[in-house]
Parts: sequence; structure tokens; C-alpha cells
Amino acid sequence: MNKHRHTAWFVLLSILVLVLFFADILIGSVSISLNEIIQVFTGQLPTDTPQSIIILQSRLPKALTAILAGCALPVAGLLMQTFFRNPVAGPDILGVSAGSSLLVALVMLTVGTWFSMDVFSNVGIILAAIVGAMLVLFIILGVAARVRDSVTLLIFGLMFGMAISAVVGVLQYYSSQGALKLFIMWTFGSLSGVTWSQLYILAVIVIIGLLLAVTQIKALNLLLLGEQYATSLGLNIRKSKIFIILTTGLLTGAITAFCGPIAFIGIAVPHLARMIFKVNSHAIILPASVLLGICILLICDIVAQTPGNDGVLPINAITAFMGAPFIIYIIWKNQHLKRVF
Amino acid sequence: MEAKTLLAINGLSVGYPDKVILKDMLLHIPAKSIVAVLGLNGKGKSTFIRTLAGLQPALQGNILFNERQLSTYTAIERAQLFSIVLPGRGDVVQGLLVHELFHTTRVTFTNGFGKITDDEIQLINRICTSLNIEHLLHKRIYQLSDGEAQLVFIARALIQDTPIIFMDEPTSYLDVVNKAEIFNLIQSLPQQNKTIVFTSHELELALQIADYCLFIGTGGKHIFGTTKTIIEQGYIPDFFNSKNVQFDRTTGRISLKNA
Repeated sequence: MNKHRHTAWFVLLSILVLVLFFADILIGSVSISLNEIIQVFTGQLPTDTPQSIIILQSRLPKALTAILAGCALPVAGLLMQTFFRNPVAGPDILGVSAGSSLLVALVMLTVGTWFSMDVFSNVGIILAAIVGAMLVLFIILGVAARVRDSVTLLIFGLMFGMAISAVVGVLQYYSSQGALKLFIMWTFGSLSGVTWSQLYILAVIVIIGLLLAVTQIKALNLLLLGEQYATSLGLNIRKSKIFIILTTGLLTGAITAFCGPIAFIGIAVPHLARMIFKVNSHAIILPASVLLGICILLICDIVAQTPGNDGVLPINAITAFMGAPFIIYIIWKNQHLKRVF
Repeated sequence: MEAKTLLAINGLSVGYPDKVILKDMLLHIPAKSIVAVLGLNGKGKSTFIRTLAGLQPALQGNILFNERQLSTYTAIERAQLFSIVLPGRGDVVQGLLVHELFHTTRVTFTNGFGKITDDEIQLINRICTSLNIEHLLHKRIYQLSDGEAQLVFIARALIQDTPIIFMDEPTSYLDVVNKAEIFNLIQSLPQQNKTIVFTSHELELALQIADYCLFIGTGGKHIFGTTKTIIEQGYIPDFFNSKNVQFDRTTGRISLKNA
């Protein structure tokens, strides 16, 4: 029974991904008909027409970025929830995104002002974000070894994130106006700032991260049994921990580098997947989180277009607007947090 | 006739680097026997069983399974040699479904992404039928009663399908009826070629089913032998070292001294 229900959901979500992808390209401040979109994709419209430029240089990369972020963030969140055995773990909650921000700020506001920003714009920022994410993960791992209680770990992560934000604030105070403006733009979190050349880098890193995550499915399932049962079943805990940190760091860092910190997707989507599929096995929840994450980010991006308005809302505002009530609902419904997960 | 030794422990010290809890342990455990590890709280029963199960390192001495050092077995070979039953529900995620617990236990022996074979599904079904727990398969861990949880975790160890099972406090939190059920189950396992080493606070019940006993007393004092010898030689009262309880070696019962 379960199997049929799961298959039906996977089919439904895959169709939804396709529909939302085209809807995301279709909807925007300049109205372009579906017919014109098809003509652009099939090459019937020259690439220098306004429609082609809007679609190929703005909407398509933005939709693809939404898809990549929609894959990466929920998988990072899922890995962290299993890894820390904490239902409210997520890249933004435990300060991992903040760690990325700090290193990006260091690169943008100090090194970037000394040298030409261009050299560092892509590779430097992405490396900084990944290293920052992994640094925080290792610190939290060290704390988690001493703090068994998930609420204590959560408070630690929140405080840690705030402390990092404070350091970023101080950095901003001492930096030049030009660099500061670039950095502030970055922190708004946006899917639209990603260029094609950045998109290629992003895609490669996200795909590597997802492949790494898939190789960890068996280990992740064993970790649900607790470290002692997992060890007695032959799992090399230390090796899987390093793999999981590496994967989470790659996925969170890459997205944070180019889109800025995007809140709530990482923590909320795996819960939604567990609610819909009613299992814990990562063989189901991981692909389910990917599909759901893509759908939700595409919806967020469509909402951000605010029909009738030329501007685009920051994606962070939309994800928080949808994500925060959902997480409150999860906590409200399962007041005993341990039972969620 | 003495059966072949399956598990040999020679000169073993257990504990932590800064604190030796038990030392000079000498135990030879034949296949298909039941060994009870008995003693008062905090005397090292769990430390001993955790060391045997490779969850913490031995400080000194040898642990040999089938005449081969424990440290030379790979992680997967160990998982095929012995399984464990932790106290209560262990550290298992509370929302996990019972059938997921069983599947994940088998998955460790598969390659790749963990698709399990029909044979393995049959193994799971057979054990669930024999323990009468099919109705629990779609429950989550936190939804189980303490008695049901204990059965589920013993079933998990059986599903791991190993010749040796280590159980740490398999009857803690249980009422007397559930305790009896678990002890009856343990007693039936040697017929399925299982060797059981378990720790317990249930002295009277444990003595009734154990072939061998390891008694651990205060100050690291310990003695190992057949249950019959241990009782008849009058070792047990020594290990209580209490003016409140007494042990009757003819009936195997414990009673209050002043009653």
C-alpha cells in the first residue's frame, strides 16, 4: 500500500516541478506569452529580441537557481537533522549559513577591497562560503559531543549565529562603501543575481553534493538507530560524520555564496517530506525533500514577482513568511520534540 | 562432555583509562549457552558487556571469538558475529517505524543503496511471527509499551542473525509478567544455536535460566562458573555483603533477613 502511495506522490511532485518551472518562467513584470517562450527555446526568435533577453538572461537562470537551491538546502537540512538527531536543525538555524556569511564578509570586505573584486567574485566567495559552513559544522559537532540535549544544542547554535552576525556587523562598520554595498546586496538573499557562469559552478557543486548525499543513504539510516546500534551494525561513525559534514558544507556553502542566506527551506522541507511520506528512511525522504524543495522554492520565486509590481521581493522574506508558521505548527503539534524525529 | 569454547576471555581488564573497573577476568563460554552477568548497581556489568561487544576498548587482555582476537575482526565481520540489545530503547530515533528498524538492521549486509532481498524479508517475517509482534511493524518506537519495545529490540538482534547476542538489562522497566516472557524467550534461544550473554538485576529469575554466571561484587571482586557451582559453593551471599538480605541456596530465593 505504502509503495503505491509513495510512487503516486513522486509522480505528482515531478509533474508539479515541471509545471512550476514553466510558470516561473512565464510569470514576471513583463508579460511574455507561452507561445513566445516556446519560440525562444526552440530558437525561432532571435536572441537579441527583448523577450529572448528577458527569458535567457533573467528568468531562465533564476528558475534554474531556484531548482538548485531547492535541491541543496533541504538535503543539507535533512543531513543535519539526522546527523545531530535534532528535529529543528537546519543550515540557517544552527549558524551554518552565518558561518558562510562571515567568511564571505571577510573576503568581500577585506581581501576584496585590497585586490580587484573580480578575481574573487566567483571562486573566492564560493570557497569562503563552503569553508565557513564547514568550520561552523565542526564546532557544532564538538559541542554536540558534550551536549546531548537537542534544545541546548539549538540555543547554542542560535547564540553562535548571533555572535557571528555581530562580527559581520563590525566588519561592515570598518569597510569601504563600495564593498559594503556589494555585501549588503548579497545578504538580502536573491535568486536573481546569479549569472550563467556562476550557475555552471553552482550546478557542478550541487550535483557533487547530492551524489555524495546519495552515497550516505545507508549510513544515514543506520545513524537513526543511534551511534551504538549503528557501530554494532558495522558503521564507521567517524568516516560517515566527515562525509556528512563535507556534503552539508558543500551544499549550504554553494547556495549561500551565490544566493545569500536563504532561511527556513533547509529545516522545513524535510519535515514536510516526513509528514507526506510518513516514513524516516532516507531512500524515500531524500528524493522527496529534493522534489518538495524545488516546488517550494519555485512557488516562493513566483510569489516574489508580486504581480502588478515591477520590483522583486527578497526571497528570504517569502521563505520566512511561509516557513516560520510551518515550523511553529510542527513544534506546536509535537510538543515533545523528540517524537517528531 | 565440555562443549567447544566459542568465546574466550583471558586476563581481561575493563573500564576507562583513568579507572580500571574489573581486572584479571577469565571466562570460557561454550556455544549455545546462556551466561548471566549479575551484581549490584554500578559494579561494571554494563562496562563488561560493552567491552565484549566492541563498543569500548579493552584495557588489557584478550577477547577471542572462535579462537580469533576480537580486534582482528572487521566491523562487518563483528556485525555478523554478535548483535546487541541495549537497555530500554537505546538511542533509537523515537519516530522510527519498527519495520524500518528491522530493514535497516538487514541493510548493513547489502551492497549499494540497501535494497534487501526476498530471503531477508522472509527472515524478518519469520522472526516477527515467532515472537508474535507482526502487529507492531507499523508502529513508531515511542508508541510501543516497555514490554513491546523489549520484544522488538530482541527481535532486532535476532534479525541481525548472529550466533552471539549480548543483552544489557533486557528486563529493565518491565513488570513481572513481561519479565517472565523475556526470560522464557532467552531460555529458548540456545535451541536456535544462539549464545546469550546478558546482564540483569533479576537474580532469582536469571539463576533459573543461566548455564553460567559471572558475579561481580564490590571492589572489583568477581567470580565465574556454572550456575550450579556458584550456588552450591555459597558464593552468592558474599556478593551481597548486606545485613538486609539473605540468599537460600537450596531454593535459590532471596529474602529479607528481618522478615
